[in-house]
Amino acid sequence: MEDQAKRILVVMDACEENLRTFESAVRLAVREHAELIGMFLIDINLFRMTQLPFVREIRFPSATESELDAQRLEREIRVRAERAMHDFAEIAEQARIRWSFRSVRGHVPTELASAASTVNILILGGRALRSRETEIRKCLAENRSITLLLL
Amino acid sequence: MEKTSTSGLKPEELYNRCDPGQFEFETTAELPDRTEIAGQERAIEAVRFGIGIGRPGYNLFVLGPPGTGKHTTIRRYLEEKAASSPTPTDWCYVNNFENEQQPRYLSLPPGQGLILRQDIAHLVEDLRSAIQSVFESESYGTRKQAIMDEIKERHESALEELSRKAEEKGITLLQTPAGFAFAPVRDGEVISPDEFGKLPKDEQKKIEDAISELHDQLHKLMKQAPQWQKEGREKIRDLNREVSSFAVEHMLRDLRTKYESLPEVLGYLDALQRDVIENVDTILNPGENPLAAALGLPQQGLSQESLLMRRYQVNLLVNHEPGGGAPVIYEDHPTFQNLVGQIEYVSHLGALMTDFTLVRPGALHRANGGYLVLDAHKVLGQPYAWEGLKRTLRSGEIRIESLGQSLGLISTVSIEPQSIPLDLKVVLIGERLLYYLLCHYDPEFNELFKVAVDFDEEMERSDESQKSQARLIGMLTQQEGLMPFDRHAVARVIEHSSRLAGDSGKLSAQITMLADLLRESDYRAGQAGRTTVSAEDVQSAIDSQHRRADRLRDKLRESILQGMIMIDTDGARTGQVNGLSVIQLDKHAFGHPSRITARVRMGKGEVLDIEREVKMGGPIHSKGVLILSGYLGARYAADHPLSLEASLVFEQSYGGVEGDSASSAELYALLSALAEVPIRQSLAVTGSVNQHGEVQAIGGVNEKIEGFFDVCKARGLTGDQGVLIPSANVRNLMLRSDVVEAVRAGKFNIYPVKTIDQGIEILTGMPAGERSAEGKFPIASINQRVEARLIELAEKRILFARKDAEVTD
Repeated sequence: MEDQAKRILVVMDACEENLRTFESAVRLAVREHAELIGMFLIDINLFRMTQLPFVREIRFPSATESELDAQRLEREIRVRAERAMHDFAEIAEQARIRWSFRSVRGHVPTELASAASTVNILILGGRALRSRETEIRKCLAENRSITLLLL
Repeated sequence: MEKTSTSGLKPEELYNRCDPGQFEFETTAELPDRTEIAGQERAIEAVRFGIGIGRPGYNLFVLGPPGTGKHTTIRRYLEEKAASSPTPTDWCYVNNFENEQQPRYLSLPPGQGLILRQDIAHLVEDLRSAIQSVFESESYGTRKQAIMDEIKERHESALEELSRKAEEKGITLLQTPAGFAFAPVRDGEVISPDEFGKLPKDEQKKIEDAISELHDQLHKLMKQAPQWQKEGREKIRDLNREVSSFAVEHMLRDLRTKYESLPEVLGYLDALQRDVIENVDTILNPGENPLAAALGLPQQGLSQESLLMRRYQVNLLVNHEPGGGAPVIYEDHPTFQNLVGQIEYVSHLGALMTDFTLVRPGALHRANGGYLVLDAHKVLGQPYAWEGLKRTLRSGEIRIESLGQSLGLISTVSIEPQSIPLDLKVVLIGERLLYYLLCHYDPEFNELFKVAVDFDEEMERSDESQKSQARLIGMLTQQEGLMPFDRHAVARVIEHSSRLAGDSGKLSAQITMLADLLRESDYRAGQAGRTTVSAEDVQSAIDSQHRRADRLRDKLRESILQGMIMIDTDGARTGQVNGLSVIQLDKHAFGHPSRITARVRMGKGEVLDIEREVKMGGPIHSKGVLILSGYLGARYAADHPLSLEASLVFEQSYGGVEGDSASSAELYALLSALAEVPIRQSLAVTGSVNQHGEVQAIGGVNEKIEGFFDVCKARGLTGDQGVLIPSANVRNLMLRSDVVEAVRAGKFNIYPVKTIDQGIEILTGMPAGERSAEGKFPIASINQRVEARLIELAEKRILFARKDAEVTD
């Protein structure tokens, strides 16, 4: 069991602040002497949505409506991904743990199920992922040894 | 030549010796090191009055010549009075948290200012860590997190609710990096445009309407979000207040007890507590800087620690030792800022900034509750210092303002510290001229400086005053660390003091000159290898002073001896007399003879003053010459016209003549010319004359006698030489010992004269002559010859007038 607990996957939603999730995951990795894998998960539905002409985006914090432009969305996600990787790397380096980071785009439950197959602990951060808990648990049902943490 | 009946003065009349036997000490080492300044009773009475009267406007102006002990006397009296006066309060400036542009003062009992400053410094040192520890406590963290979670949950649950509603309609709520969007889904995936296009139109519309409705709800939710956040912030702020209040209250409890008798301090502590609580975020967060923010400066450069120290610092302006008495402050450099204080600025990122900690006290602050001593000349010489001093005294409070700002020279953010109540005596020290000029030209001066303390430059010489001056000498020698003076040396110094006063019956009150002589005598004694200063050393020092200053006198005497300046010291000449004048160079004065000549001829009764004609004679000299006409006319030509035209001149005078001390000499020359009787050139004359022929006192009699004596001595004393002086000046005689000895040996004479008649008899050896009962002067007397000559001139003039009339007819 001890060997199996060496890999922790922390999944970050592409659209939310993830700093606190990182910090919690790093603390856990330190405590468990585990390798930490960061995954920046981009929901493919975001891009599918941009193809629908009537879909509008309501932007923070002004609550103004605008068209959901695929190119702009791409740019904004890239910025977030870079920042997430930077924050993740900084916190992980400071904690002196073994770590890796990857960015994934796809169907959220499917990608989660795939990535979770090689780890012992799966940490999900952010409201969006938490709200899909039931759906995610279904996908992970086959992987009985995994521990799921929702932050 | 006929010998005159008027006799010269005896040697003992030429010098008032001080008897060393009257002193009960051997050397000044036996004398006390402190004594009253003698001879200034009037001034001291005025000082006592001025210090004693505690009314506004009764400030003192100490006037008198330099070197009369004004500073010493005043400071001594002030210090004595101050020592027994109550110690004034300490003054501090502290931050006015309600209006930082107007710092407020705290007035505390003596010594408490320093203690309060230390207490507050310690408080501030502990404050941050105490607050930090409270804010880092688990209970605080839990409560704060609970508030934050509540807000977050409120937001998220609203979103969840909306998301659930959307899902019921087959729509998903997706979060984008910058906001939210709704889209129709099928099997967990957003449907493609093709799929959407295949849907029936009413289905499409239904979806679009549902999304539109969800948009509206999301709008409402997002508009509510800031309000929830605001509520959250307020809850956190309330929590912070509660927590910090507990921490600060705990820390201030002891200080409140300590200063319970000082309501001002308690008020300040309350204000400080409120401010700490209000600014607890600033205290904990180094990123924010209220001072810099208030000044509109960038949030850089000032560390949080230093900022905190400044904000709550106590700027101790004036601190007094308890029981130390009232302050006596002498401000040597009374600029405007040094008097009323100043607000300093520091440069920060190119801008000038200030606060209450940069308020600096002036002399008025330091002297508040006591005495401030200033040199009037220096105050008046400093721009705006006099006006600033008057304004402060008038208003009764010290208002610190930037001179640059009040003049519009600097335009930057400044502060207006609360004015501090003023209660002090200002003592100005200055020359008499300055006092009378201020009285005349400054209408406020008399209102603000009602007490004049007038120091005299001389005092009556008596046994008591001599002993008093001996004590002063003792004090000065001890204060200056000089060798002791033996009683003979002291007596010689006192004699010299009389000479400085120019009066054998007076002593000089010029302490500075006295102190100079003591130092120089000490030096001479040291050179001679003595351990006690003797009379010989004092004399050596006096001689040395004269030698150092005698260059011009030597040049003049050399010119006389070489015949360049023509002065006869023997023989007799008609219409020519040796006058005497004094040249004053700084503190040194010397006399020298001048030849005065008179020529007469028929005229309109005018005595022509050649000096005045060429504008080399001053008004007093001209007045003296005009008096001669009055004397001649009234005495000799009462019944006939004064048909004389006489010219009078100071021969070889190139520098101008002022004063009337030569008017008797001029009259003698005139009488000699009229009577055609020669005057003895072995004599010199000084004294002014009035219209009745009375000889009046003059100044510088000692220097004048010595000036003529030196010329005679250089040529060889004959016993026939001497000087005529006004009788009134006999009391002024304090002549050099060589002059006294020459008189004692019968080689030189000093003749006191009361009238012109007495003088002309000595000068000519002929009787002056008095009118008989018939109104006639005796035959062959001077006056008879003068009168006869004037009558002759008058008759000739009448004759000429007739001839002129006949020619005209």
